[in-house]
Amino acid sequence: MSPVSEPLVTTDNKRASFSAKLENNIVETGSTPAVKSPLSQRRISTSSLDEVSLIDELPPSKEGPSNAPEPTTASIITRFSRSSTASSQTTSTNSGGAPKPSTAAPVSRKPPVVPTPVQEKPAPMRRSPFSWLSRAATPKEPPQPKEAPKSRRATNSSIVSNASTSTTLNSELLLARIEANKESISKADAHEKEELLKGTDSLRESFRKIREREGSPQSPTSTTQSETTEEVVPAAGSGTNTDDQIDWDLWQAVVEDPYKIASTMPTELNQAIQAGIPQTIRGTVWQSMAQSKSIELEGMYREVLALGPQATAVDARPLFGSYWPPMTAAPSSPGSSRLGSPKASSPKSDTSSSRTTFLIGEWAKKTMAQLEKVIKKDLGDRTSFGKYKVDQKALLNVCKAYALFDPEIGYTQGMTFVATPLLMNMPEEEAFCLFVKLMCKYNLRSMFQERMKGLELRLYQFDRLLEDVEPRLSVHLKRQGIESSLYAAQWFLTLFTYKFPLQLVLRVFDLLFSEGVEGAVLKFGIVLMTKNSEALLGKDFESLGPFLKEKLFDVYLDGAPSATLLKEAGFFGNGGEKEVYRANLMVQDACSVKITREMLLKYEVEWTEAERTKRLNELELENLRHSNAQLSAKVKKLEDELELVNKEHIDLLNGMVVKNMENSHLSDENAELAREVEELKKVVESQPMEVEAKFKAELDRLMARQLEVHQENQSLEEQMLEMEKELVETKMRLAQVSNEHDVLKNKWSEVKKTITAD
Amino acid sequence: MSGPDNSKPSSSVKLVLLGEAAVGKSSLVLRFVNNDFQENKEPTIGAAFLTQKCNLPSRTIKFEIWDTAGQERFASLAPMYYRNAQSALVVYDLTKPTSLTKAKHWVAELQRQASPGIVIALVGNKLDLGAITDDNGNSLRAISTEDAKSYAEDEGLLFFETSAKTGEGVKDVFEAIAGEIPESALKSRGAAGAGMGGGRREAEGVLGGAVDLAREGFGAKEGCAC
Repeated sequence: MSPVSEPLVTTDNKRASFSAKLENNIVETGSTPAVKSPLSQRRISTSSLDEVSLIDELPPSKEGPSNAPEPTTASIITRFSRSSTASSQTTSTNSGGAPKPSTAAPVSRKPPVVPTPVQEKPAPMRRSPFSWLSRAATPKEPPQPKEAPKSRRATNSSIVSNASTSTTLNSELLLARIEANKESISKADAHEKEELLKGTDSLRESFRKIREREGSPQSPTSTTQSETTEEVVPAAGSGTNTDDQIDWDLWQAVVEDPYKIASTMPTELNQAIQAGIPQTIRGTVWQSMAQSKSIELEGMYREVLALGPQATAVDARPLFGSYWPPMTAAPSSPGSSRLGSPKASSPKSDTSSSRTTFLIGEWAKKTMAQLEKVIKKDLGDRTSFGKYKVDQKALLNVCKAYALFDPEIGYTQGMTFVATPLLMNMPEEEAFCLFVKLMCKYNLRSMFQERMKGLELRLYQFDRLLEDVEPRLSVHLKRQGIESSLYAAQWFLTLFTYKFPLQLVLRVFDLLFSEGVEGAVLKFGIVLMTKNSEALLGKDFESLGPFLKEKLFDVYLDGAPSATLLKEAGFFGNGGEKEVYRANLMVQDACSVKITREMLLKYEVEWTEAERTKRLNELELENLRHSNAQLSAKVKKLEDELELVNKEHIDLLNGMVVKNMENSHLSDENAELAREVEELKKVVESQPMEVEAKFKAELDRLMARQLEVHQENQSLEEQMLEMEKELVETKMRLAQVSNEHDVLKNKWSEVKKTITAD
Repeated sequence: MSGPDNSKPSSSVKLVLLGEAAVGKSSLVLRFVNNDFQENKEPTIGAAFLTQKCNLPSRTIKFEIWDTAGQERFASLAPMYYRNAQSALVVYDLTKPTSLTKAKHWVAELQRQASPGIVIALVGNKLDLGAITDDNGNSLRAISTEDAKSYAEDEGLLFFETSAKTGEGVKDVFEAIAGEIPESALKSRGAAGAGMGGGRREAEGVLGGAVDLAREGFGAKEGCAC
């Protein structure tokens, strides 16, 4: 919870549970400070006393958040006047805030600048000493909800003390990172340690050289130094230290042993970083803080670049040896390993298992030549700060070598942007080592990984923080349909190098190397939104777009830059950034945004949970879809079956109808037949008599005929008898005639004889 | 920006650009919005967003243009960007065959996952290069108009070939999309809160209590602005 939001959140009744939690914490603080006070410095107790009395006097009001900026602006003005002119005010603030005179320069402008953080005082006091001494888990919710009103009436002295305490608070992330770094080193093997030592030594050496060159503390503004250009490109020397003396002792101590300095004087270190790392030693300090320098890896880098154009990650891999980047052992578990840089898991444990799977994917197959082709497309005018004439070959080399070094990530657009500020501050070998650290140890890698889950997490954290800090703005943007993915994705992926002025980007980098990427980018993101919230609230979608993209930093434009700042701006040389920005103010504002590891962790857990739920939902949806499909298929099948059955049914019905019709037809026929039978029967019955009668009649007729015939026969017989009689008579006559004939014949013969004889 | 012609209904349409890296998505937008062209535009990281009005005879459409990063690694972010989009430009480079393959993937993904009824236009960019021939007299064009067009017809997409460099065809694409957006899908932005799309309403819901606090001021502001 950021200080600004806290009171607001508490007033928000709907977040009952949240405020309840806060209340608990308040109660806790009420008692704990007393217990712990012996451990902490004196100002703790005073501040907590302030706190108590104020709680009674001024209950938190809605105005809390809107009032908060007031002191800020006031302090901006005072601070600004101070930074340009070393005035008497400096001394007064100095007396209150800076415990160590040697750090006067950075500290002096520090205290007045951090009025907003005033509110955070009690919580940090409790936590930060605790966290770095014992690393024990601290209470999750820092209890500072009621402090907002106090800032309005805080006395000058309390502001000062508050300011310094807030710095302590804000060193929490720094300390956490350093701790984690230390841990990972303690786990590293002897070889790694040795390498690290060598690297540190060489950094010390180069620091010493620079210091010698820069000469005494009286040496004026460090201008472009031809000797140092190999180390330090004459880029934006946005550190205000340029017009002051560089606190060589402090920076030397940082380079000597960043852990020691971070744990013994976190406040001073933090203030110094907030005031800007001096340009001349910026590259060296970055590397020290990141512990990136490795002579060995630099050698490997050169070897890999010397490989032929056909070389791929497979060839580069053996050269990189033990420096292989951490594998994504389980890409699906976005768990704690992703929590910022501090927890970046040691690669040692999982490399062996991943070795086989390592060289898979599109980037693993790309040859040097192909990589070059791809990366070259994004060089030149297509990079940020192109006008600064960063060595494009070096930029290409760093990106190319990284793609070979870590083929799981390969080359992703945006990398050139990140590498550019590095190359402005150190030679390419060192820039490569630092880039590797940034990706692997600072876990920038998770944002570039497949699916970009790290980016999603960061965006989620940003959304939640924005809701806490600027609820109205958050709602406004949501209503306008502007999501953080639209404008903040590029901030986080490129660490603000995409569209923003170099002067400010370098300062962002200062902070992120000390505090870790996660906290630093979120702080800057939030502070940009807070600073512009009024402007943003008055804009709609149309104008929000360009504004969010390019105008956010304009609030830090210095309308009337002081002579020293102008001189500094001249230092940017060929950069062409005409505007001068109040970089210190921005960094200080960013540092006053209270983001604790607990908050980040909490939001990470929330996000992980949300992701898990989302995945589960997706899974369930998938399952439901699947079963739905199955059921649909089943329904379809049953419907088909039903249809079939229906069809059968209809067929049957049709059949029945047909049969019925047939049936009635048959019965008709039957009746007909029965009738016929009846008739026939009658016929049959009547037939015999008829037949008999006929027969009789016929018989009679025949008898009569027979009689007739008989009679005829008789008459014929009589005729025959008569004829026979006739015949006999005839025959007798014949015989008579014959006799007569004979007689006559004889007579004839006698006659004849008589005649003849005659 | 607000046109003098207030009689015509005005509504906003969310349009998302998708397509392989370096096909000219941002350049198309730059040409449409500012009528400008930059030879070496920096690659888009994440997304960019712009607005531009498009006057049709019957109505005015205000495009809310979401321009996305093309590199493969950024593909996983795309769903965040095309959520609730009513229209999409899927862009390919007509001198580069792989870019059409990628475009087809985007079309498939949009059809599967984007809002139903989303109007998709397939755009072959770099028409100016298509007219150029190399030393051997071969055209730089690698994808014929017919091939792309027939694919677009099969999938029910609008189809155009453009040159962001010369400006050829760019305006037509947006006008055609504006004309294709069904009347029913348009929501005019009226009084405060009334015209919010689904996504915005959803956002309000998420914020719950915090909204009440802010709503008053917000509403008043909107009212004044109109």
